[in-house]
Amino acid sequence: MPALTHRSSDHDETLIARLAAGDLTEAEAGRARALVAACPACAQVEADIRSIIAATERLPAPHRTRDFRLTDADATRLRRTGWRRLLGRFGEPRLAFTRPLATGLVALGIAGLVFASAPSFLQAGGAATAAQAPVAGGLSGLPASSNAGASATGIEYGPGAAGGVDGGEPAASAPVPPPLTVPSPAASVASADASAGPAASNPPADVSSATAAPPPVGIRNLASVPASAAPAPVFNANPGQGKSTGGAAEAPSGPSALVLVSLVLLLVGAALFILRWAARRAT
Amino acid sequence: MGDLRTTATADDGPQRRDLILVERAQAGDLSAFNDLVLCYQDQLYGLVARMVPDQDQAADVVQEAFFSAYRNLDAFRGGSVKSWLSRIAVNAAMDLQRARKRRPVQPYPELEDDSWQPPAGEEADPERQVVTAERVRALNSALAAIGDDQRAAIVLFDVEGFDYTEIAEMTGVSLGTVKSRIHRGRLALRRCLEDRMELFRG
Ligand SMILES: [Zn+2]
Repeated sequence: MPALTHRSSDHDETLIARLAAGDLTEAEAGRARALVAACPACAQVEADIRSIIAATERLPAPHRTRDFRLTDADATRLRRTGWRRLLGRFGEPRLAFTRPLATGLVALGIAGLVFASAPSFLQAGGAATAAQAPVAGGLSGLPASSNAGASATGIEYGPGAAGGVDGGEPAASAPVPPPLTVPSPAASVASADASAGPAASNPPADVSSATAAPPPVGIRNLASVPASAAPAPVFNANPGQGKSTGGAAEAPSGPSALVLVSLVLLLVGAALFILRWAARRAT
Repeated sequence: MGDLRTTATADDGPQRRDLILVERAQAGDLSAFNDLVLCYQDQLYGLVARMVPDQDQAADVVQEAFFSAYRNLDAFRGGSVKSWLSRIAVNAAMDLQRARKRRPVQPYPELEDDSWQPPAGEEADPERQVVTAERVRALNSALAAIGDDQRAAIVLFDVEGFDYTEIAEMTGVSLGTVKSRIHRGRLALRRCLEDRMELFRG
């Protein structure tokens, strides 16, 4: 029998298919029945769908071609021990919440990093960043030998930063930190390392590495050098500058604390993703 | 094949037997697990072979599903063992379908294999047997031709007898999506069978 054509092009075949399956509300069913009554093509669709459902339900089972029982070797290979057992837990349904959790942590971490590296944010805490620059320089571990006459405490970079704020040495100054891109942890580490040598002569690089410092650096930063200790040599080297940098030092270590927290969130989120992925592969 | 929508209560005989077997398997008894395999390998193969109409691939998927079930015995938290095993098999079949989507592959072969013949003896009339065999062949070909998601939903609902909610859980989509896939899938089958609908009418 040739396919019938609908009386109107807006006849909804899905509605008719749902009618055939008894899957409509009363109002929808009324509309569908009206279509079936008035349109032979719609009536044909309904009859055909019913026939297809009946035929599908009666489909004979395909014949199995193998025996799927496990051998002792299979069982030994598949048995979970130690870390695989632990890892497998991450794939269990009751730990399904770790997926949105990981997504949330990563999103928060990225948002925090973006926020911390926004120029306006840095302008507000710009001086604080400048004050922290020497700390980061000291933390990068290498500059002592490249900075003639300086001690190895890290505080020696204070004058450089102070000079920058002072405006006396434009090449080494950091009055307004350069706009920063969102740093990845790996990039931050690389930048910290790369800037370690010339740190004293190139404070802007230090500023960026300090702002984007990865957690270990940040932790050392906060733990080993109190914020108030950083500007100390600044006062000694350039009393006229004391006011501005001193004030900056009292400002909260906003960017670095925010970056630290953001990076921790990002890393924890990423670790959760990796654990879930590994658990899926292990199952 | 029994309809899950009307059978299987929580404490019926097979379910009690399954739970005992699972408990023994969890304690390390491989033969208990293999008893479960014997109970369900036909059903799981039937399910997967319709979702993945390539018999070799279907067998691989079922084997992988039983491996996965054995590995994850500790994750079984009660309920229907049959549903648990079916869910694992459906997931394994869907993994294969996703992998097929990622790379250009041949369409599924025409299902002309003998193993798809209807069981003998149900209809004595040879002429009717020929029509029935032809109808089964046409329907299997149409099923192989429609989209993976629609085929999976139709097989789980019409052939295996799972309800909308169970299918939504198994396939990880909403109830509305399950219904939509089933209805649109049936319309797609009708389009595939356009020239052969006479086999199904009357
Ligand atoms: Zn119509």
